[in-house]
Amino acid sequence: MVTFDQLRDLRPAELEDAADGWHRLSSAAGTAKGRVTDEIATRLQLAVTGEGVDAAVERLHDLARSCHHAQVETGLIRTALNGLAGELRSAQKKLADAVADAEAEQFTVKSDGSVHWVDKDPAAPLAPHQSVRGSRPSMVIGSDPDPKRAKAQEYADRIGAALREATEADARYARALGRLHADSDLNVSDAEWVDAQRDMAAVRGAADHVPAGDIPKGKSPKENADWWKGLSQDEQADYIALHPASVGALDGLPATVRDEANRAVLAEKRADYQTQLNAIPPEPIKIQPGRVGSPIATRTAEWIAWDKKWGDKRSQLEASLKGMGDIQNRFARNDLEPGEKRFPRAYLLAFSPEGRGRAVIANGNPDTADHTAVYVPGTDAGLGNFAHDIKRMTNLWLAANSEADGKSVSTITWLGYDAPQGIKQPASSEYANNGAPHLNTFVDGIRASHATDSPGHLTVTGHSYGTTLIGSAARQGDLHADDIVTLGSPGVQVGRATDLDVPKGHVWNEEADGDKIPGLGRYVHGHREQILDTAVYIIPSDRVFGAHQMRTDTDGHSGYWDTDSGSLKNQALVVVGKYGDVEKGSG
Amino acid sequence: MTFDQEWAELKGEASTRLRLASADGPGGGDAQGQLRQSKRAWSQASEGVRAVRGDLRTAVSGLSEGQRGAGSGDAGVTGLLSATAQRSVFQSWKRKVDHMQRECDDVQGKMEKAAQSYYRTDDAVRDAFKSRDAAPDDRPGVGRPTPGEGGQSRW
Repeated sequence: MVTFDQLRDLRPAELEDAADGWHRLSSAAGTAKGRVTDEIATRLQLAVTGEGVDAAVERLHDLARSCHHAQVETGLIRTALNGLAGELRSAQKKLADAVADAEAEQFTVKSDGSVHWVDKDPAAPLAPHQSVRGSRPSMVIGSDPDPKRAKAQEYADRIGAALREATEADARYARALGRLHADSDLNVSDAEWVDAQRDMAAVRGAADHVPAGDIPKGKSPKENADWWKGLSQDEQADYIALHPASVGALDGLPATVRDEANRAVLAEKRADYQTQLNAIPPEPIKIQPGRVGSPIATRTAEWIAWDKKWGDKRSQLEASLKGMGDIQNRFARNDLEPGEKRFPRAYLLAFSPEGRGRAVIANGNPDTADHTAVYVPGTDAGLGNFAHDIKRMTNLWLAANSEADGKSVSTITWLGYDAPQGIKQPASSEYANNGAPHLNTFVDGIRASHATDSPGHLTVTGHSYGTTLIGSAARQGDLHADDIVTLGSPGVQVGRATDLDVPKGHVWNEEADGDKIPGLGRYVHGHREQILDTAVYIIPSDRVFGAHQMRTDTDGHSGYWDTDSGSLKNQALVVVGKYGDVEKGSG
Repeated sequence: MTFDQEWAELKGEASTRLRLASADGPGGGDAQGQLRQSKRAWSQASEGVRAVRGDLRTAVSGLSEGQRGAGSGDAGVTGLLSATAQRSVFQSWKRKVDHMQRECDDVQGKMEKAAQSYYRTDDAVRDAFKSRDAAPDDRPGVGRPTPGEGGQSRW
């Protein structure tokens, strides 16, 4: 129970000082995490090979994980203390107001919270000193004719309410804080990240100074950005700590903010999914051999029952975990070979493992980049298949960076929609039409968070079905790109380059030898037009469409990002705005 | 150094090393140059880890400074359950981050040894890094309950 004296003398600022200390630790741990992986480990890997260096790098990555975990957990501690300080301050103010009001009317408040007065009623000459305490309203309701007593009771009750409020907050935050102990092990286990997720929920339950309900929903990226800028630094940090999934998904917020939030979500979800996967019972024997009288092999009943219950769940978990591993590998640059060119640090601009998964990952910070490319992948894209879409954009970054004349470049893999899977789904426009509005808001978000001192040239590039989505984005809304590059396009729903929302002459197309998709796809996603009595279907490879045709020297539908290829270089030239150097192809 | 300068330098180093490796084949040629390169890389890594350790130390002293009022016998928040909890959480993290600093020391020391060719073989380097010599502070009452148990309040 918080006492009257305690609440009166309390200095919430001391809790805030403590919170500042936690904030310092949390930021330092975040910085250390980045330095250990992005600088120290990468440089070492690049210069030395062997099992010795691999073991050293493993130690560094473990250290970075410890730092990340410390960053997230101590961020929660900071948030809890800020919330606590706020609630205690509010209770303290209620107490002070009640005391001041009471004293103004000549009541005396004692340190046990009771309210005293001297009764001047001559009928009670022997006991002039009267007092009441809070929490006992039954004493007075309706039955006490003494107005003085009723008044005193009112103040006593106000004091009691303030004390109860403080007591309740104190206990609630004590419970939440009690969860946030560090353990002594340096390795961060899955169980600890799962705990971290629960800790976050616990602090969220305790603290209401940064409510989820205040996070903008369905607003424009500009409005999102304004909301964020209107918060204090403490509030911003507390929002990241308590609502990382919502903050990380918010288009228009700075890339560094989204990255920090989404990395926490990724670490926690990965541990959570791995734990769920481990809990799935082993798959029973699937096929039983035939027997006499029924010689055909059949599926076992056990397997059928298991599959019904666990099959889909396991596939979803496995695919998600694979994608999360791919992203982690990109962070740790595990795919970096010695002597290979380096690419800049990654920013995770969106992440959700639900369903087929969403992930947006940037090479280089788009907020400060002079040239940014947003890549929309096509059919079969998903978390289970994310590594090659990441690789395509690291390749484009390398190619663009080498043409950038010292300007900075950011390339982004945007898996921001449910891509169609397999053979039949790509024939539907639904996936493109549903995903297109998200591309528009994402691009607007990149615009909104971009530093104002740099022009921020932005190219949207798509592959295959991804180009259909780009077309749909321009058709349905406004796609605020400067250039559009389409690769192996089966059609973009519109029939002319000028319908793609970019200035005339800023649509670029590649169709490689042996790429069958444009020829096949045009009858589905091409723009249907009537020429005399014949229906034709226009795609970006057609001269009448009006895109610049760029030369390709790669084969088939999936080679557009081959290292050192002309196909890649031409994309890179558009990305950095060197239009004159682009090699023209045959339209 | 800007990123580009630093990168240009690294690229130069890496391509020299690769050229050496491919031209000379295993065991031959200008082993001296390769050695110099590797020494330099280990030594840079070691410096980097030392800097990280320093940053962690600074952060912990900032954290401790912030504790001066909160629950260390000061009247400002004394007696609050939450302040007591915070104090205990603080002790656990202080130990944890101390441990992280000792881990930095361990890794950094080994990197420095690698830079000075203390280890004779790659296997010896690997074994050195595989062994963790920074012990946790396992005194009773330290840290949170075992992960997975939900972290019940300790008060």
